[in-house]
Formats: sequence, C-alpha cells, structure tokens
Amino acid sequence: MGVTTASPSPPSSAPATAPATAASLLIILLVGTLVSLLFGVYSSVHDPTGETTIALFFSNTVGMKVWLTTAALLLALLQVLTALRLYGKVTIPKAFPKWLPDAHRLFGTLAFLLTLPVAFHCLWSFGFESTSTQTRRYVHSVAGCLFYGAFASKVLAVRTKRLPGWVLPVIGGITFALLVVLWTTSSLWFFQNREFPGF
Amino acid sequence: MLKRAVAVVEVIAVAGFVIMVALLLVKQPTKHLTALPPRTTVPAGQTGTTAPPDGAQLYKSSCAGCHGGDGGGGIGPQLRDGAVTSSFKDAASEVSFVKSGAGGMPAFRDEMSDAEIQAVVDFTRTTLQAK
Repeated sequence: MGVTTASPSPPSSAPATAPATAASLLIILLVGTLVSLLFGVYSSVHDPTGETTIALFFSNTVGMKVWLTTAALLLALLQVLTALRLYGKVTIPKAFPKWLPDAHRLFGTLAFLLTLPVAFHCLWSFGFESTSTQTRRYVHSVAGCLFYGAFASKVLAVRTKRLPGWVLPVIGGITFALLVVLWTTSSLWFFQNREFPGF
Repeated sequence: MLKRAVAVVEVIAVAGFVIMVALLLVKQPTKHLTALPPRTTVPAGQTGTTAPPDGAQLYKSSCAGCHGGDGGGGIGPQLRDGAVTSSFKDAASEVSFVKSGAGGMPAFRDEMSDAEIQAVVDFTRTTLQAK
C-alpha cells in the first residue's frame, strides 16, 4: 500500500553511504518487528473478554468491523493507485495533479484510522487465535499483528532519507497485502458465510 | 486546504492510536471469562486415555466471542437464563443447529468434532444456565 502518514519521497539520487543505509533499514525492520511482537504478545496474554465494545454509528459491532475494514481496504487501494501515479508507473491523469501527494497521504491516514476500532475489538475481545486448526482465525491473527508492524515500518521509511528507492514500495506493498489478507479472512468471509450486515 | 485536512486527520489518527493502546491496557471487562471453570487436563503419568472435551474451554474459545463470556449475548443472542433451553427443547436439536448453523450462526461441523459439539452444548444447557 501503503497506508502512510506522509507522501512517499521519490528515490533519492544522492549517493547513500552503505553503513548508514543498512543501519536505517535495520532500525526500520526492528521497529516493525517489535510492534508486531507487542501486538502478538498482548493478544496472547490478554484474556479475551468476549464482549462487544463499540459500534460507533453502526447498528452493531460486527457491522462496524465488516464495513470499516472494507472501507479501509478501498482507501488503501486508492493509495496504491495514487502511489503508482506518484512513481510514474501510470500516467493517468497525464498532467500531474498538485494535490495528489496530499490525497495519497489522506487516503492512507484515513485507512489506518478506520482500522483502529476494528483492531481494538479484535485484540480486546477475541485475542490471538493460536489454534492452528482454526486456519482462518489463525491467519487473521498473524496478519493483524504483522499489519501494524509493517505500518510502523512504512511510517518510518517514509520519514527516513537516503533509503534505496525500492524500500518504500516494498514495505508499502507488504502492508497493503496484509490488509488484503485481513479483509479476506474477515469481511469477505463474513459476506460469503453469513450476511451483508446492515449499517 | 487539503494539506490542512491531512494534518488534522494525521493528528486524529495518532490520537486514535494512543487512545486504542490506552484502552487495551486499562479497559476492564464487565464479565470476565476467567470466571468460567478451568480447563481440565489429563493428570501427569496417566497415559493411554484421552481427556473428554472441555465444554467450558470450547465455549470460551469458540462461542464467547459472540454470545458473551457468561452467555449474556453480544453479537450473537443471549444463551443464559433459559434462553437456550427455551429455543432448543433437547440437546439433540441444539447439537444439530450448532453443526449446521443458520442465519448469523456459523456451522461448526468442520470446526469441532461431534464430541466437542456435544460437550459445548451440554455446557450451555447446564453450567452456563447456573451462572
């Protein structure tokens, strides 16, 4: 994706010193790993409450989760499309809109924001599904923890200068892929196996 | 204008994340699942036998997320206070429903064995009703 809080910098043309670049990459990777681990540890040791928490302006919690996750995925998709234009991978529109970098940031930030109530309910109410026979929930739990780690890495990568040009698209792509996995193992499953929940 | 909107949304996102983390750490449940009976285990040294499925533990891991830790309901309907025994006059009909699912209730035939479904049904009709 990614879901970012800042617009991506174009690949730097300045010569990067290898040790500094390696150190930056290592820090980015470590922070992402740490965030994922913290979410994983919390959801494993926290005793799931099984309670509904918030529904915001939806009629129930499950409807909120299904639709907010779907909206986050759509916003993330918009961020991927705008990123493609920012990097010149597509040329639609032909004239580069001045507002595109800001729109890119807005899509990503909103997508992240929409995931927060969903993640809160998952972590606090359900916890980590560690039973490997519960494949869908197990994959969802792992992807959820990795998503926030990847997001943290993405934010750091956006704000770190002199990184190789491939870093940001790779981390962004991983973050987006994880969100797709999360949506597939939750909202899509719900649509296919249960119902389209009301708002 | 758009830049200002982005800045505002970013501040809200950061604040939202901080609030989420704080709530994760401090929010206490009103009904705690640890009130359920502890999981039974096979005593050390006892081999060659299989512990019977623990209905309470199965309920906690597979049902409480929707029906509440004490069966008080949530995403799914209430089970306690006679609700489940009123809906299903006998255990066999409840077992059949849990296996096949309907409406918002997912089918559990591929998620649990027959013995596990029977154990969790027994739990909902006995222990859970006494809470």
